[in-house]
Amino acid sequence: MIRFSDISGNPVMDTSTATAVGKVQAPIIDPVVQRVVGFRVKQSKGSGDVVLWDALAGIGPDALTVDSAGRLGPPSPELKARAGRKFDLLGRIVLSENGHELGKVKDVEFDPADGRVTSLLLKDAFVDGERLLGIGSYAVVVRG
Amino acid sequence: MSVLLRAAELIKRPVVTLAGEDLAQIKDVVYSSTSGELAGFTLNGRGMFAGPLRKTLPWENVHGLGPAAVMIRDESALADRKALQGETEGAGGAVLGSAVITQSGRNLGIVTDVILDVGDRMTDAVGYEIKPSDDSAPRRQFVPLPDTLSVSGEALMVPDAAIEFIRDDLAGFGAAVEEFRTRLRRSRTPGETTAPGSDAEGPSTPPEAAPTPAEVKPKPPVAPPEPGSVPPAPGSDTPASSPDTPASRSGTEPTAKLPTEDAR
Repeated sequence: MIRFSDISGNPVMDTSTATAVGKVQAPIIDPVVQRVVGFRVKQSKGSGDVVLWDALAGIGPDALTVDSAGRLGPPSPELKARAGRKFDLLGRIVLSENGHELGKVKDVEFDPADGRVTSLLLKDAFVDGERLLGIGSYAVVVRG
Repeated sequence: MSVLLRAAELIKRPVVTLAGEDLAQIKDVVYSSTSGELAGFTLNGRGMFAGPLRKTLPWENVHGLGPAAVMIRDESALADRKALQGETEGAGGAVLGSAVITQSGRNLGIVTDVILDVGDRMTDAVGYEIKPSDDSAPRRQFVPLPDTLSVSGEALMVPDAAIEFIRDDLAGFGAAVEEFRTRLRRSRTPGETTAPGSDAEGPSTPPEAAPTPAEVKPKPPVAPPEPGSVPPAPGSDTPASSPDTPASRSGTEPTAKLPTEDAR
């Protein structure tokens, strides 16, 4: 498992040119499948600021790798809203479906193999990734 | 499990979908005019300048009600304004500021809030927070309500026995309400098979609230239920009973589950 904080700000390296083509800014998470589906990238040298999970060549401790800067592009229409800052998970409050506030998301832990979100890390609690119900502009909602 | 809650605490609470969007906030609490149960909420928009919304939130569409938010499944949980028509708009309207008067004509004080019992399946108005008319009494007290009662009208009638169950704080109030209602039920059982809707103490039949203090203007309560004719069928207005919407089912949050570092 890796935590987003471990890779936040790491370079995105183009393996064909051995140059950095951007920096990891935020995870893009689809709450329906409870997976990291891509990352938002800052200082992108590609045509947009999103790299999809499936377009990555590798997720290492010190860099994400892609085989060309062309892998960085604008989000697809269905991902457009989800990829924006408005739905960033980190820092958002977490509500249970019963209306209790559990805290704010400090970090997110996911499986580097498939992007599955394994847990949300709050200030003094963990929430199992499988409990994720929704990520909205107001709150992250979790089951139970 | 159920929790006691002041209705005022719900006001301004955000209404949030399971997708995490805040669609509205609670403007006011609406009570069923026949049973005193919570019927739903009127809504305001979110944001600094948002005004009243045309939509309302019927109680049966509430997915969960917690201290941080009122949760709904999605936008379709919001209903047309008509859905709550005929019910009594509570907190801001008829209830707050009304005097609580016992059946024998003693003014207990002015209602400052309504105490709700938020349970798994239904939420009921169980008491009033009052500012006692008696100056030597504490600044606020809690008066229990019979289990069915109309909360409309300007003066709110409670059985005399309520006086014994007045409490000074919420801590022991839940038990007091329970005891009070048990007492009422017992005193009424001889002769009839306690239909849980046909309270003898219909608030519509005050024994002439004539000797009341000046601020009380006893008006005929809105639409008194026909005495004796049709006791409200228990179940006709039972809210939130669809089995898949457990409103606020827990007080305990099973939050933790330390992720271990082992590979899958």
